Amino acid sequence: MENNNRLSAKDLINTGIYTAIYAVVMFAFTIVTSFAPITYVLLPAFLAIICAPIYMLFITKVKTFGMITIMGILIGILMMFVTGNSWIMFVFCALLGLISDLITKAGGYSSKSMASFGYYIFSFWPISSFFQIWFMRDKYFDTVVASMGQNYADGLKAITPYWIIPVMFIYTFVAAIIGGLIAGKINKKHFAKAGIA
Amino acid sequence: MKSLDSTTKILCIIAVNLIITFGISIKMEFFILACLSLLFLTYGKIRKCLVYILIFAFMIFGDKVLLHYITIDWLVSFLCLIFITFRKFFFCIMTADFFISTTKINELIASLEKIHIPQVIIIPLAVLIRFFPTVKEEWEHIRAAMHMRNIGTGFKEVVFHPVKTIEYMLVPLLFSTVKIGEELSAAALARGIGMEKKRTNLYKVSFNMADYLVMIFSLAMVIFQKIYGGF
Repeated sequence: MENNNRLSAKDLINTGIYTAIYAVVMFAFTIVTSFAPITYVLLPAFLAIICAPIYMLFITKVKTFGMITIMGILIGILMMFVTGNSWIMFVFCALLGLISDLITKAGGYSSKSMASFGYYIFSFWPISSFFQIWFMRDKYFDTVVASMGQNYADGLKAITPYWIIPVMFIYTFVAAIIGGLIAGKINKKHFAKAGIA
Repeated sequence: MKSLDSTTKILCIIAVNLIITFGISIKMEFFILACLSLLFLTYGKIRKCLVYILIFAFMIFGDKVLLHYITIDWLVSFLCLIFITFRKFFFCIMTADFFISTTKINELIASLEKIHIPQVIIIPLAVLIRFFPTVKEEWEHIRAAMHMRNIGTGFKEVVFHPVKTIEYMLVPLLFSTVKIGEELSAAALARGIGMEKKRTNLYKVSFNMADYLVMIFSLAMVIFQKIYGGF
């Protein structure tokens, strides 16, 4: 028997494969939906719904601690080195991967409700691409003031308030719940029947 | 000229990333642009370099000149987002592009092994990079097949029929890629990826003068920006 507490080569390869599928679908939909500002802000919610079946199918393969963490780290690496997001995003992705890994582990990697809960947490990661604008807010508005004047900067501050990030967390969470339900249905309808879930 | 090691390029990305997060002045932006253009030019990527310089020039022009002539409020806030906010991300994207367009996968893996990145990261990463084009190809095929049946995958479908799009696109994609993935993992196992012993690599990793120069320079820039606030 294989030792259940260590990551086998097959686990690692599976992680790579599902992350690749996740990333391609994510990039494809990001390109499709991000041309309008409003859908760009809603993007975390869209991704939470659309990528749910991939994540949930991946969870059925996960039996050891670490795979979801590695998935988070890989997505962080991709976002940092391929699309040029800040290092904050990398840290955030790895952290969320670890948290949802711990949650799924608490359910023994077989409990569906714990896996879904892990997914709700994991799907927060796209929000971190907005952190940079949030953290550098003062610097950003300094440049705006310098080029546009104080009046304009105040107006812009009013329509991009601080509470936009917590609101993002809320609607992403709701979207992740919906995504989890859809993923469960799809799993039952297609993958469980074919014997790959 | 011997090319830079992947480790150096990764360090460059991290350095640019850090400098941007500290917040930079416009002189500093020009300086970083000059440095990155130099890197592109040493690799002979003249066209790519020119495209980036043109994009940057356009954003500076928009920020400094164009914005003063526009008075419609929503348009201004939208353009501000493009000209000012996107310009912060611009350098990260440029450096990342430099890294991707000049690095081979086997070099990258050899370098990562050299700097003792654990195998649990390297193996999935290698699989991920190797598997990327395959998934993309499958995705295109499924898209074409769905178009034939009049099921679109554009903006409208995603927003108005998300469930339908997910089912028609993702289910076939997962079926086909999972199968290919199983074959891939069988092939990888047959070549001893799960072995405990250290693997050998044809590519020799070594740092040369240029590597040290670029590393020291990027480190110096980060410190300069952090402590003295740049130019």
